[in-house]
Amino acid sequence: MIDTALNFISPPIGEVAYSVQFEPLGQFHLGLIGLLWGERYRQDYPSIEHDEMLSHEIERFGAKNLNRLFPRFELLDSIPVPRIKMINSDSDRFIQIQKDRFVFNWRKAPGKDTVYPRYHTLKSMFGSELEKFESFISANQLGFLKFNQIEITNVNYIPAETYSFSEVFNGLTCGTSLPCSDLKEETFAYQIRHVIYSEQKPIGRLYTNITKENKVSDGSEVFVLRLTARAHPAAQDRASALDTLDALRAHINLSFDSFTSEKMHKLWGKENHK
Amino acid sequence: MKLVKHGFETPETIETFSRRVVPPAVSHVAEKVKEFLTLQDNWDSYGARKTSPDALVAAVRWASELFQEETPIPDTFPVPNGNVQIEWSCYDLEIEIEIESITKCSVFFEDLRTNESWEEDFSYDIGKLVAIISELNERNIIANQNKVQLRLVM
Repeated sequence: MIDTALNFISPPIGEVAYSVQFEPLGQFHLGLIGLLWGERYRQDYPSIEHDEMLSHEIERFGAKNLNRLFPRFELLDSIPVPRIKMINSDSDRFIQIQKDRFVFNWRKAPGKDTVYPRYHTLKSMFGSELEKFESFISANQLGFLKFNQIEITNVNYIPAETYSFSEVFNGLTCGTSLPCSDLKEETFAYQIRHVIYSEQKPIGRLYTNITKENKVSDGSEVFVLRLTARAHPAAQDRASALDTLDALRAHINLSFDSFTSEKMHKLWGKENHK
Repeated sequence: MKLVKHGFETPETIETFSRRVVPPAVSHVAEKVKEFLTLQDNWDSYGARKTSPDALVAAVRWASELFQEETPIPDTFPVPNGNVQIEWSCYDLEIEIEIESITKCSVFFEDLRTNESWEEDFSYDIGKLVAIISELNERNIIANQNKVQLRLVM
């Protein structure tokens, strides 16, 4: 097990998402979604939005066609039931549900100086909201949630107008600054994918993406460091799903720590509890 | 019920290395899946279950992940338990893939040239399954080359 004790007093994290994917629920219709919201979530998450369904993702290993493009097929017997977003009154937490996914999100609320509540607090909220969903599925005889992929995403925003690329990131400076030239880097996208192993068997992947973007709120330039780790759990139950989340979080921490510079670590107040 | 194709979904942007052609064997499986959509319970008059939606979607997904342009067209048919079976019996190979869901398929493999034979379930690590499909593809390429040579001689 890798070290998970990494902690920052003021990390640059702006969004997190914890997701469990399960075998699709055959009878999950709009009426049930309304009932679910009214019975279990409306009090804490009073606003509703709809979105297109997220695709069913599976991390598979051993295929040779890494660059192969897969056409995606879906069976429809009616208009598809959308993904439902239930949003809390502060707009800093929301739950997303569709026939094969349950996602819990936290984000810095727009226009507010929200403090990141920390992984263990958010994981505990996620576990309790997921338990509500499972009990609803059971009470309405919709079967059991058989988890097949667990996913965690952290999105970090680092002001690009205050810090240069080489100040923020370790060892990725090639080409971003060309001395004695009339060239100035405007934008870029960097991505790397790692396979995650457990007991020498591949179980998932870690996706690290770095881009430079403009914030929607004020147009300012930011470096966006997005880390997504996805893996299948050892078993298909909730306890195993939450254990997998811990392991994935450790991998994300490792990548964050490795890609960002010591200078920024000091600025963010890195603490090591060893 | 209908089968909807959403086009290609990928984060890859390096066109040089990306392949957008749908292999004929994948198209074949998609066409068969469309046929199986109409099946009802007892379609074989021996109490068979209609093909499950999970198995139908999964059949196309597994085919997309496994098959290449060189993969020969398989026999694809519904199984009485609601699953979909894809199989080949050619070039001294017997390969049967019974698809239950997007995370489970059961495979029987036999190579009459080497006498290797096994049965195994696959979920996430599909390296062994990919290897036997590669062997099938190679034998198919060689057989097609031989056909061309034969034509030239005649």
